[in-house]
Formats: sequence, C-alpha cells, structure tokens
Amino acid sequence: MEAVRLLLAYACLKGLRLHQMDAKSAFLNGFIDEEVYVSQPPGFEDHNPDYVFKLKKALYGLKQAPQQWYERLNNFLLSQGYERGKTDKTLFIKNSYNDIILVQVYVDDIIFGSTNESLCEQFVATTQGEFEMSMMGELNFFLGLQLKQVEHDIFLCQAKYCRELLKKFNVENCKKAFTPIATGCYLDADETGVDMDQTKFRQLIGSLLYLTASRPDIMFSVCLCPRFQAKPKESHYVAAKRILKYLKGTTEVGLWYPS
Amino acid sequence: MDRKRTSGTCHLLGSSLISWHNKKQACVTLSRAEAKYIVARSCCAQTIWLKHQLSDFGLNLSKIPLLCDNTSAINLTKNPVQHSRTKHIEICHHFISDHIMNGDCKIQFVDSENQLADLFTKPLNKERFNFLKNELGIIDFKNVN
Repeated sequence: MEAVRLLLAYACLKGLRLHQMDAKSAFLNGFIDEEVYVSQPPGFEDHNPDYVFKLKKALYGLKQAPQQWYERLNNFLLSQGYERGKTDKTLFIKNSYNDIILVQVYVDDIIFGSTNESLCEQFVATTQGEFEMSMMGELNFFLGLQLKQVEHDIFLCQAKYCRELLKKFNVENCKKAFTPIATGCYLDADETGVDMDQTKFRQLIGSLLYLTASRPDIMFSVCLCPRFQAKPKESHYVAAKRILKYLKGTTEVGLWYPS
Repeated sequence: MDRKRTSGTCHLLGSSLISWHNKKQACVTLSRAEAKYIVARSCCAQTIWLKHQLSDFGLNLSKIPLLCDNTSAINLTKNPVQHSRTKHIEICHHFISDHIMNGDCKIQFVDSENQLADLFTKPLNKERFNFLKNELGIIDFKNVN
C-alpha cells in the first residue's frame, strides 16, 4: 500500500498521468514446472472414470498459481527491456533516452505512468499482445481506493467503503462527532465493565483498520481498540462507536496529493 | 497502566503524506528523550526504505530531513555518549546515528506546535486535530480547490 501511495505522490510531483489495467483470469497464464494432476471436474468427465488430468498450465486454487503468474509476467517484462526495482520486486522501470516508464504490479492489477505518453501506448500494445487485458484507462479505482486525478493532482479516498461501513453498523442516525476520540479518553482493561460480543467488536475493528489505508486521521483511535479485543467491554465499544460517529461527518475525507 | 509510550511517525514527499505508523512501544523507557530516540530510529528505517524505492524511480535523495521535537534525543544521535542516563539504550537504537553519519538523513528540530506526528500519538482537541489534518493534506473532497 505504501509503495502504491509513494508512486502516486511521485507521479504528482513529476506530473505523470497514471493509467491502470487488469489482467483477465491472470493465474491461468502461468506455466507450471512440476507435474500436477487433478481429478476429473464435474461436467468434464472422461469416458474412463479412473483417469486423472495432467495440468499444462496453472489453475486458480493451485498453490503454485500466484508464483507462476508473477514469474511469467516478470520474465515477459524483463524480456521487453524493463528493469525490476531493487527493493520492491513488483515495480518495473524502463528508461529510454530522457523518458521513464514506471509499472507497479499488484497481482493482476497494473498501474503505470510515463513522462512520455507514447511509452504508455507501447506498453499497452505489447502486454495486450501477450496477455488478455481488460479495464484499460485512467486510474480511478485501485485496491479499494477511489482515485480522482484533477489535472496533475491526485485525491484518494474510500468514501464508498466508508458509507457501506456506516450502513453495516447501523450508525446512520447517530449524532456526528468532530474528533474520533475524546481528549481525556483513557482506555484500560476495564475488568468490572459489561462484556460485549467479541465477534462483533472484531468485525468492527477489522473494517476500521481497512479504512486507515486512506484515513490517517483515525489511525490513532483505531489502533487503540484492538488492544482490548480479547475481552471487549462496553467502554471499548463506546470508544469504537465514537470513531463511527466521527466518520459519519467526514465520509468524503481522503488524502490530497498536490503537484 | 503499563507505562509504555506510543510511537507515531509520518513521512511526506513534497507535501504528500505517503506513509504513517503508530505503535505502542515494546519496551518501557526511562525518559522522554529515550522514547523519542526509539521513534526516530524506526522513522529512519522507513525513510531509508522510501529512499531506496525513490532511487528506483530515478530520484536520488540524500540528507533527508528527519524532524524530531526533542532536543535531547537529537543530541543523542549526534553524540552517542555513554553516560549514566543513556548507556542502557540498546545498540540497535544507535542505528540512526550511523545513518546520519553516512549522510542518508539529517535530523532537525521541530517545535511541538508543528509536530505533525502528534496526530498518531495522542487524543487531540478539535482545533489541534483539524489543524494537523489540514497540514497533512487530509481533506474533504468538497474543499478541494
């Protein structure tokens, strides 16, 4: 996630236009080096019911599938003259003269941007020749983040997710709060407090944690709650509810990356 | 109450907030300076990672400013003296002074008024909270432009 945000911030700084694409049924592209057999799937039975099928290419659900897909994509990009990032192995870079193209891969989602638009077009053309791709275009939705490119500035938020979250936990009619946590708030194990449902508390925390990808403002208050998830009490629940109340008034808030 | 402090760091590229982190420290510290020293170290490690990543993008940085709001902690990184109040600080925390000497980053003082990482370490009142949010570029889309 940080790598993605770093790329976004860098793109703003350099005025790169980012695009995205999506590999169709990515894992089916992988080749396998081992011998793998599968039992006959229903609907595709052979006339000899004792036989098993030998796989020529990877399938979803196979342990090797993600690695084989990465291997395939990696080899393809390397053969096209791309260089792999030294720290982040899912970043591919190609320099040509004074222009650079950056390609960030997240399993089957690919974001890319270049100082020269013709490099992008070239990238699209070559990858489309090799793999089946879909959802080409401007970067607007990536890993659950909603992105808006306004000229060279980028705004990222999770407003849609946030609204669904508020609906799920029935806080649509609550009052709004201005901060996610009260100033004098002190949480401890609260052993005498009333027990609350652990599963529900965990669900709430899990959902909130995902939201912190674009909402650093709730980071502190969200990270306080999981410390008590083994024995959630009413006071902890109240603190978590306060975050939801705060979110209610700030659904559209996100990160702004100016150029 | 277990007297452990909370670390909070944030990293900005230009004025874009890239990464942040908050964690309750694993060990009990004797002084505020020591706590800040530990934070500075984890912040430094993350900065180094970002620096490597940016060098892949073709942007080479050196002497990245690392802002800390505690002068004692800053002095500790400049001159790792072993006197009675600091000699218990583990060696791994001296990692940061090593990187400063290499010229990867440099440490600077920031007054607590402008300490942006406060957002990740303590509950704040409305005014302060909104001020920090604004400084870090966490804004409502309606207010853009």
